[in-house]
Amino acid sequence: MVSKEQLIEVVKRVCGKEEVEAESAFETLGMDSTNIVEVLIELEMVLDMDILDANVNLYEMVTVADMYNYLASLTSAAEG
Amino acid sequence: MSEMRIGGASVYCPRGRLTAEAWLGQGQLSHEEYEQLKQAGIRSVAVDDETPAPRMMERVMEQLLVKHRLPPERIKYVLVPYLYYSFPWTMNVFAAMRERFGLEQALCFSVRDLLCSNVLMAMHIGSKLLERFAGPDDLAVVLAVEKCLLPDQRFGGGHFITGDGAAAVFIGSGPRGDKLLAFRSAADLRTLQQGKMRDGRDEVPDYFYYVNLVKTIRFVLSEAQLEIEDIRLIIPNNIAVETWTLLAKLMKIERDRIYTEGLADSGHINNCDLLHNWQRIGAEGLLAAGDYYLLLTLGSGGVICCAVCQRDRAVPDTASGAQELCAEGAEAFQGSERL
Repeated sequence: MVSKEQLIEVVKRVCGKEEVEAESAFETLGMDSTNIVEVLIELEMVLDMDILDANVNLYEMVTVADMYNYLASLTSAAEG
Repeated sequence: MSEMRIGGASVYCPRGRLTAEAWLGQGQLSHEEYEQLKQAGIRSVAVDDETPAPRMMERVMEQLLVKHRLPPERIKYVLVPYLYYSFPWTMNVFAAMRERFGLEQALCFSVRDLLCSNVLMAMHIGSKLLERFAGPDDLAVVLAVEKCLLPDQRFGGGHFITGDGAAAVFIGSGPRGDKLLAFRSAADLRTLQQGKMRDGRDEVPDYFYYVNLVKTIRFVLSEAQLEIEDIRLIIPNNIAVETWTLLAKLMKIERDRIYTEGLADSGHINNCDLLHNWQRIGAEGLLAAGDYYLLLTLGSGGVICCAVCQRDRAVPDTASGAQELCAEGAEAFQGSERL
C-alpha cells in the first residue's frame, strides 16, 4: 500500500509544484484529468499497484486525500 | 538467437471510394457525426464491394511473392489475422492458398480474439515460431484481410469509417529488413468495463486504455533498452485520432511523432491499416536508416500490442508508393482468378 507521503511525492512530480498537501485540490494544483491519469500510471508502474477497478472515477478524486482514500479502499477490499 | 526482421510488405488498397456524404445519404450517419468526420479530414474511405475477401488475400500474397521473389517452399508459416469473418463457411481458404501458391511447407492458421491487435500479435507469433522451430532461411507471412459485408461494420461514429483492404508482410532472419527488437501485449479485463464517464465531462474518454497504453510502451522500450526520445515515429492503427492526441500528451511527446495521416486516406481497416501505414511510411520516406520506431495497435476493449523496430540500412520496399502498389495489386488480381 502506498503511504500518503509517497502519493504526495508522485503528485509533486506530475504537477511540478512543491507545495502539495493531502488536502490540496488537483484543480488548485493546475491538474486536469490527463494529469490525474499520469498519477495513476506512476502508481501502477513505479509502486507496482493495481489501482484501477470498476469503481474508479476521476471526478470523485477532488483532493490528494480523496485519491489516497480510494487507494486505501482498494487495499482493504483486497484484504477483506 | 537470430534477429527477426520485417522483410517487406504488399498492400491492396481498393480504388473504389465510399464518401462520407454518400454514407450520410444512406442514413448510416447522423449530421453531427458527418460534421465530425469532415472536421477530421475524413471525406471517403477505400472500399471494394465486388471482390471477395479470399481474392483480396490472393492478390496481396501474389504481389508479395512476386515483388520480393520469395520461394514458396521457404514459407513455413502463414498467419491470418482478421476481425470480420468474410469467408464462406464452406470454403477452406488455407487449403486454397496452399494449392494456389505451392505453400506445401506452410502451417496456416488464423490469429483472432485480440480485435484490431491481431495483426501485431500475428507478427510476434510468426517471429517466435521462426526463432524456435524453423531454419535460417525460413519465412513467416502475416496476411490480413478485412471486408465489410454489412453496413453496420463500417460504422465508427464521427471518428472513422471502416474501409476494405488486405495486406501481407513477411518476416525472417535474413540480412535485410527492419529489425523487430521487442514486443509486448496487454489485455486487461479492467478495460472491458464501460460506463466510467458518469458525469460526461471526462477529457480522457476511457482512462484505463491510457494507463495501459503508456505502461505497455514503457515496458517495451525498457526491454529494447531505449527511451521514448529515441523513437522517431509511432506507427499506430487507424482509430479515433483523439486517442493518439491524448497519448502524445501523456507521453509528453510532440503530436506529429504519431503517424495518423493514414486514417483520412484508407479509413479504419481493422487488421490491415497498420500494415498500410507501415507501407506508406516507407513510400513517404518518413524514416531514415537506423531510425527506431514503434508499431502500436489498440483494439476495442483495450487490447494493446506494441513492437519496437529499427529501420534497416537497406530500407526494404520503399521505392514504390502506395498508389503504385495498388495498381500492381490490381494487375496481379486480373491474372489470378482461381480462388
